[in-house]
Amino acid sequence: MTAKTSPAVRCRGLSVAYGLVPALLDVDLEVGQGQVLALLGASGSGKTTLLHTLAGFIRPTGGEVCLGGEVVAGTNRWVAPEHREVGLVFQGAALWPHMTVLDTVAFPIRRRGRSRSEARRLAGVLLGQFGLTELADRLPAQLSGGEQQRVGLARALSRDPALFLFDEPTAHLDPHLRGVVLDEIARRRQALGAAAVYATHDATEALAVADLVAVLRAGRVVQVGTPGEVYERPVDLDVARLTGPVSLLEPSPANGAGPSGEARLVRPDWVSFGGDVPGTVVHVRYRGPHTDYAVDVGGSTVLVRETGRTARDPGATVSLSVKRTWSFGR
Amino acid sequence: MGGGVAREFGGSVNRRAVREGLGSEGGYRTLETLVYLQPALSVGAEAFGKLGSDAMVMVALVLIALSTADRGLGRIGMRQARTGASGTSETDARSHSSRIVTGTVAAYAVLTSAVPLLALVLTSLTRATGVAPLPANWDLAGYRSAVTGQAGVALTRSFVLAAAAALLVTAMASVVVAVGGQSRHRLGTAVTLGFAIPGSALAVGTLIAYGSWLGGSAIIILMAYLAKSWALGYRVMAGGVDRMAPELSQAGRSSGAGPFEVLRTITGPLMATALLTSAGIVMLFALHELTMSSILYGPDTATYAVVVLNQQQLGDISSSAAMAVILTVPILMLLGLGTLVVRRREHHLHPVNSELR
Repeated sequence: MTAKTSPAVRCRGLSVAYGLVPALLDVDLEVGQGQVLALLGASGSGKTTLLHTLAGFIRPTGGEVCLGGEVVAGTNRWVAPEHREVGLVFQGAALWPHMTVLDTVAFPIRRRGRSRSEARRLAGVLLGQFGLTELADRLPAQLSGGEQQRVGLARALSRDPALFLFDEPTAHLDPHLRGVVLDEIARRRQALGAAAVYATHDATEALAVADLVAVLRAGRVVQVGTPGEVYERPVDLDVARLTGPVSLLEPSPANGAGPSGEARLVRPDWVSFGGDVPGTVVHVRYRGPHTDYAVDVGGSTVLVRETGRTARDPGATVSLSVKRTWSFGR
Repeated sequence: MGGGVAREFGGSVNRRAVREGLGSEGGYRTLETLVYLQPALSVGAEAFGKLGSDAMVMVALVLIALSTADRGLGRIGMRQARTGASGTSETDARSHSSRIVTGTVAAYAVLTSAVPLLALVLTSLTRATGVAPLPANWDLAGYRSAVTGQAGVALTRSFVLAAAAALLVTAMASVVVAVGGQSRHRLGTAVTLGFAIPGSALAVGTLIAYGSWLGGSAIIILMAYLAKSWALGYRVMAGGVDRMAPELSQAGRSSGAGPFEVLRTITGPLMATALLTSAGIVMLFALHELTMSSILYGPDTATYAVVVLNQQQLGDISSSAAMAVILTVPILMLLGLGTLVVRRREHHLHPVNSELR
């Protein structure tokens, strides 16, 4: 009963250090049942350390971790990884080179006490749901990167976990495969209704998959909020840059940035051509579905994103409409 | 290249069999053969003091060479790794020089190994020294004496000692790499010492420390084998573990398997090649080890390599050649079998199938 009503994950004052080097500092987080939390941060920010602490590979130096209401790491309390109801999907799939796809997916089922034949039968059913039946007898070396990652996901699913942990599962994949694997992850997780913690350095991925985003920097959580909150109201410039393209409007009568004397953040989708703020196109980047224009506005360079092909050249005089801005001091 | 020079220097300071077989006859002595002769000449305090100082000089020589290589070459290697490969030579020129290198290496192998081995096999089959090694003069008397009587017992003893050393070193190395954590890297440096200490110095030290209890027993020889070959077995095992991504065992744990289950189903099978290689290398080392065996053996504990040397020094060339062949054949068979197993395994785990990649 506790598991149903308690958060899927709760960390309080969680700290981890590698020797004398702190990796996580006083982290407080909570993930509700069925929620997806994205951990967003640059390399070395502590994403993987946090995931591994939740999985039980790392013992915290301070604080407490609760999974489904049960304290799994804390003062005088430690639950080994194999006893936590967690399904972990690794960055590089981490498939066992000597096991076939079928045996890999059957492995967690076997550990749940099923017989070998029953485990293989259930693994076969799961592989069928993933459309991987034809690969059942193959070894990891005989699979493509996307196939490996899907098998890794099937293995995590076969554990029937209450919580999924994703450690940058699409980081090693080609862009077209990322979409396939991301869709698969979202579909499977939703069907199970399990909570998930999804570590990534890719803001678009984090904003797309998560109900909540926690931004990590140097082992600290610097902001937690819905994807919309983190994108639209970042706590500082670093978070703003991490969560998407950004421009800063320096205060100037020419750009209407206001008299407050502080720079204001502008996202490319908050500004459009055709308004009362004059500017000059500095450079143009055609990116396929849209074109990015860097426009000089009273000494500040503002990024404007417009759908379709390039319609203005560098040096062109334009006018902008700034629909909204954000001030960090607010 | 520098590492190879340092290792060969250490190995040469260690190696006695070649010098004993070729150098002593001509009055050409080295520190190693002197160390061997000292306890044989006298058991007095003066001889033992001289023995100790000779051994320490050898230890110092090897340690200076290895530590210099460790410090200097590590930095050079790092610099080169940073610089990266910058070779732009033409493919044809490379292919031509490759053929020259292959030819030179083949000629070197024929001159230094194939010719002596052929001479060894022919001599082992020929019934007497000085008789032409032709089929008409062949018989198996040398082989009969090489596997019967004291020689046969020594052969069995050598195999048992080698197998015991292989088993113990591999088992101990497995435990250390499995539970050693971060400290095993420091341990890795420490275990090199056992390999760096010249065999004669190690044997003399073992004799001084444990001679009164274990002198003349096979156990004291086994102890010396373990000390000397520990680095060989451990390095292979540690290398195997270092190459294995930690995510593989983590995936096992997060799939519901405990540490021993992970060891049995994941780490163990993946380490099979390293286990086999470690055991094979230690066994090969122990089978042909002479330096320590010849210092530590007693009346009933001579190893096969010691018997080969004694026979050669007694002038029984035919028998010693047959013994040498017998000592070589299992080594070649082990090497061949090991290579076959490792290749099959690698092919199984990493099949070449570019279409699927």
